[in-house]
Amino acid sequence: MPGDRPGKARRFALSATTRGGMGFFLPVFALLSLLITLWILATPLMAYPDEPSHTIKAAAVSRGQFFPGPGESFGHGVHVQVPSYIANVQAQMCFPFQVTKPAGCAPAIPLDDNDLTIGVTSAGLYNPFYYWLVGLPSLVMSGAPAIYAMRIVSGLLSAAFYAAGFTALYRLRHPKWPLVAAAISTTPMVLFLGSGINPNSLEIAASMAAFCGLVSVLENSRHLERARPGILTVGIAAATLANTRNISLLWLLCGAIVACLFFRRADIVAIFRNRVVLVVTALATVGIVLGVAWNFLMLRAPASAGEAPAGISNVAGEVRPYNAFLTMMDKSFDFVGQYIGVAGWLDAPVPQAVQMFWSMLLIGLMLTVMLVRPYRLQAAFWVAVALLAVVPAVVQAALINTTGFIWQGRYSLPLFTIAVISAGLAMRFRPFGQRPQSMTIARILLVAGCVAHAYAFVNVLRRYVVGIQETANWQTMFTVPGWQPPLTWEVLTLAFTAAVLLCASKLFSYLFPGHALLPKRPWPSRTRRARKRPAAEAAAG
Amino acid sequence: MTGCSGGTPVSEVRGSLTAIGTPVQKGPIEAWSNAWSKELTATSLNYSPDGSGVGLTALATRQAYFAALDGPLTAEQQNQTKDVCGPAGAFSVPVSVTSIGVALNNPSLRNVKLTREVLAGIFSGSITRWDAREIADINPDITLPSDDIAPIVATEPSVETEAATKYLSADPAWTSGVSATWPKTDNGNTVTVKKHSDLADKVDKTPGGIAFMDLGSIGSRFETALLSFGGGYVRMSKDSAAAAAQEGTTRTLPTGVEFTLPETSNQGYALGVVGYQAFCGKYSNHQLSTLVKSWGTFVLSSDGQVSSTYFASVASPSEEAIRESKRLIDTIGDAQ
Repeated sequence: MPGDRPGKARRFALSATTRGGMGFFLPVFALLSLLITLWILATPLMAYPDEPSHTIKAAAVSRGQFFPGPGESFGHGVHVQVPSYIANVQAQMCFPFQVTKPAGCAPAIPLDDNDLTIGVTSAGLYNPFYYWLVGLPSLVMSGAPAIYAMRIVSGLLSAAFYAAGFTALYRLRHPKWPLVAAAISTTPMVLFLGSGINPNSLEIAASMAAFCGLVSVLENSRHLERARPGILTVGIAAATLANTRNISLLWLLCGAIVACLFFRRADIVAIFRNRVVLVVTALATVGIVLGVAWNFLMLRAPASAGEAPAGISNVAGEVRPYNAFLTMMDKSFDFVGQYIGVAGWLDAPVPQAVQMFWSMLLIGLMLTVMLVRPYRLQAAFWVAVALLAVVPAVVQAALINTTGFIWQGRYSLPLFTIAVISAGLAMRFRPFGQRPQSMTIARILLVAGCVAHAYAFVNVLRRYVVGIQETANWQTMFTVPGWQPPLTWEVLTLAFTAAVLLCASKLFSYLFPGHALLPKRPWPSRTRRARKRPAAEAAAG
Repeated sequence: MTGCSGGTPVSEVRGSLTAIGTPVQKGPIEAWSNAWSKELTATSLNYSPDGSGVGLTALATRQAYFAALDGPLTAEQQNQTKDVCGPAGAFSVPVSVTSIGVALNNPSLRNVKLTREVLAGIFSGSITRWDAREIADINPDITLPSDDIAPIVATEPSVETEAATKYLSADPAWTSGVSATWPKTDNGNTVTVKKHSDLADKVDKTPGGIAFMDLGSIGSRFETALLSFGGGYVRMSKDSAAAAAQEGTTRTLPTGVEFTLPETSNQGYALGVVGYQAFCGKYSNHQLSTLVKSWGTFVLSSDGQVSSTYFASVASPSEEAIRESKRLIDTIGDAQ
């Protein structure tokens, strides 16, 4: 009926707040997708930790092999049937752990090796949700292009959750410090981890999105109609986390604890009186139950014919759980380098200058939180820092007698991201300086951040193009490259630098409306204007 | 056709091989795999050392492209593989000889000689001290320590234990026969570990310890006893193991090539385990059969045998056994 149209149109039209959110989400998603895709192209196939196992698992799941059958589990992993070029991705592994060796030793991946062959994956019992999505390109493509496409699907998933997290922060009443902190938490390692086939990055991104979404929901507990995108973000991220890895729910719990500590009990109770929250919570619960059910199902998976070999299991000696816990606590700060950037199979570290710069940002952020008053505003941040130190130590202690010491910094990145963003949240009521000095400091830090990102990117490329030698070998990247990524390393570096500068300039324009990160006029004219200014000021005075 | 990975050109021999089998061949297979993939860069091997029987089942159920075995294929086992490997089934060839030595942890013991009878006494619990008369009689030039002997054995069944008990059972003093597990004794000094691979660490930590272990695990870490195989006393080494292997006997049967170490040898060290690999006569496609044939050919080649001898301390089967085995490997084809 004609009279229904305006009502329907109203019902299905996006509200102004949702449109505003999408206006922020889409460009952020596009920029993050671009950065991650450039990392995907810059990282040689299988140069990403455990990528062979996850690639084989993804190709198998997309072909309907969700469960390992009886007699298909062996000491080194689960046997699946995948195209020959996927089963043989291990052949690409001629350069990992040998930092001096370029990636050019890897053989070409044929486009027509599509006979189904036995592939071995140590990720055989993992939840198939992520792998099904990521494996889809292998159904319609072949060879290296298929694997790059699988990586890109994985990267886009991560970019979507990171963008949702940024958007949730953007919708806070005082978003600037939280957004600055979220930008700091986007270390070179976070971008690198988005580049490979491995649910690790999705886990970090979904944890970040769930945490930021929950914060935005709690802040709007009295006006939840404004927080519907945040409610959806929390629901989707929670269900995704539950179906990513069995430990991911722990990150969700930690994020929820920290987010709740930023608000009053009344705010927490209030959100559960909202019908949308209850419906989304119910749907998310279904996803969480499915994820938990998978974990229980896999406890009853057909027994393996053998024990996991060294490398998959690192059980050594008689280390007791309490000793493993103390060892992890002892190493708390050792993992910071891996939060900032140790790419590849821990064989492509970012330069020390980048580590120093990011360490400075992290320490600066922490010291600034200490200035926040009243003290209760700091509480959630310190709890987040404590969780970052203690939770991985507890998990490692629990695993010590079954898998040995396996913990790497990247496993803790969901908690790291939550802790860094918590610093911004703790500071959110502090005024964001708009004075010229503040702008200059922000400009310097943002440009330095761009340089750090670009330097980390090109140094990781150097590791794969010519290898890291004892003597400087930047010039050989031009003269005798031992490997070239798609589009060449030169083009990727220029594109990445441009993309990261674009991100920084967008952030600067947002933080300082009406101002640009980089001067629009050439320096000489500015200099002339500066020279004239004292005379003009004198005349005015 | 190549993808956009920009790697080296595509080789005709390419793909991933998956194999399951005995833990005894873990070292040699790692050595062969490294050398094979270095030469043929578009290949890779996944090997899980879950046991000889598990390997054979995996081959017969399409879960492995070859199996590493502790012994030659039997006719019955060959029949089990006919569904997967074609009407002729699988066949097995000898690929390595893993020498088993008697490792000692007592700094006073150098060049000590031990007979089957003495070893039988030690491992059955009737000889409990290093200065026992039975040991002193055959080592008149050595001042033996007055320490307890601690025999160390693994409780899991293994082909190494089977080889050791077979060696001992040639003497009437050993009454427990040939077995894959060590018999229980009343000797309070006996130390047990669960896995064979744990023996080396336990011997290292146990003063007076003695154990049967493979040459690769012994390396230069432990002093070994000199044993007799019908001639003079022989020290275990790569050379003496190779000398014994050349005196072994070869038989070609419908199930493959069988290779047996000699019962007696004047200069060779003849206590060891012959490792076999079982392959299908036919594989499902040309790429796979080319890949498997390439593996088998490399393992039996002089480069392959040098790699396993150098990196895994195993000896080669005799030249005749290698020749016969190569002939069988050449017959591998595809069903297409």
